[in-house]
Amino acid sequence: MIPRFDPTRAVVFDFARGRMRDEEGEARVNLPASALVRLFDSAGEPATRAFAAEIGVELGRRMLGRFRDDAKVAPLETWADHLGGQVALLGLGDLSVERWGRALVFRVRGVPRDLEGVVGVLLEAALHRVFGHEVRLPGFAQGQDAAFLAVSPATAERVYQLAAAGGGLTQAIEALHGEQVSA
Amino acid sequence: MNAQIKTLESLLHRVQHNARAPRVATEARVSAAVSAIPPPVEPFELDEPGSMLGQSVVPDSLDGRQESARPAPPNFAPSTAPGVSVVSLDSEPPPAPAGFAGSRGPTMEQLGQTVPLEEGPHLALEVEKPQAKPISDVPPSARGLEAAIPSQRVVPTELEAPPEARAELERFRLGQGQELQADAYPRPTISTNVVEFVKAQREFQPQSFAELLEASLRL
Repeated sequence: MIPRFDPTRAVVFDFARGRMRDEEGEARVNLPASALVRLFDSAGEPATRAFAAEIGVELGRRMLGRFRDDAKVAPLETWADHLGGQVALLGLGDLSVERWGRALVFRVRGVPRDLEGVVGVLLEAALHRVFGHEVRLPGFAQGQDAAFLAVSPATAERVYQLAAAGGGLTQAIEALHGEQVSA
Repeated sequence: MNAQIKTLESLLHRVQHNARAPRVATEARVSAAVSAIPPPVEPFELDEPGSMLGQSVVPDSLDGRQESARPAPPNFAPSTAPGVSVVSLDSEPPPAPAGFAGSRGPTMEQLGQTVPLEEGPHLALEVEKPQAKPISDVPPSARGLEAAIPSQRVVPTELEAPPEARAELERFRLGQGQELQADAYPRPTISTNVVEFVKAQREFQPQSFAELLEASLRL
């Protein structure tokens, strides 16, 4: 039985000493999101992806520590609870998990502007750390939300093509399910 | 003729003799004789003969106020004759005459068709002094019908707070306000919206997150 995500003391502010630490004692830094975006723009895409992937791997490691051997049998609700909790602690939005037929979709609300791509890469790395699979999460902007469709690297290219043709998340899912039925 | 004159003289003499006799004894005898006679019943003072029988003093109807609104007959003089009580419908009933149960009550002829009231006159009732001791003097335990009311001291103070309230009580005891606690909201429940056009996948019900991820990666 996996306990619910407990954010108590997940981040501790030591205001007198000017420090901020997480539950494992690691030092944290509270930075403006806009400053981080400018840094990513200066660093370029490979560096930004590497930065986000590193955070995602660390996030996956922490989830494994909580799930232990139950990571692969945990229900969707538990994953939404713990993965969403970790994303929320980073200040990257409110994550929920959706199932569209056979498609898995992560929906994140309230992502800081221009950090949607970072969130997608972060989630990819976290899933890879937990399951060992290469996962791609093509993102779709839907109003104030960012939706990420979980697909394989090969299918991700097809999704990018559909998105470039003007298709949205629904059209991409419909196309993928139709191709699977016809196959 | 002379005989008649002698008779008249003897009568005159007797009258004069009686006139000189002491008068006190005679008055005493008369007073004693009068006191032995029961007082006569004085008649009603009525201006119109027959009004006593035609209009009963006591209302025929006991409905009360509707009857009380009826004005009294003109020139009706309340009788003060013994044994007869004038009932005023607008006021409190008169006090019962002394010796109500005696022989001075009204006769049936005086009452005529009077309907007797159900409510009797106010009588002074005497209550006997209780023989037992006042209840305040009897100890509560001896009364047998009293139970001690549990006071605040009787309520057991060792009752424990419910488990869900202990943390809140402890936090309150330590002076920690609610505003110092992190607001933790659970993740929103997952949406299981299934697109209608994916009819072939309706029977797919993944039991775990990993199962759904595997299915999504195979798309």
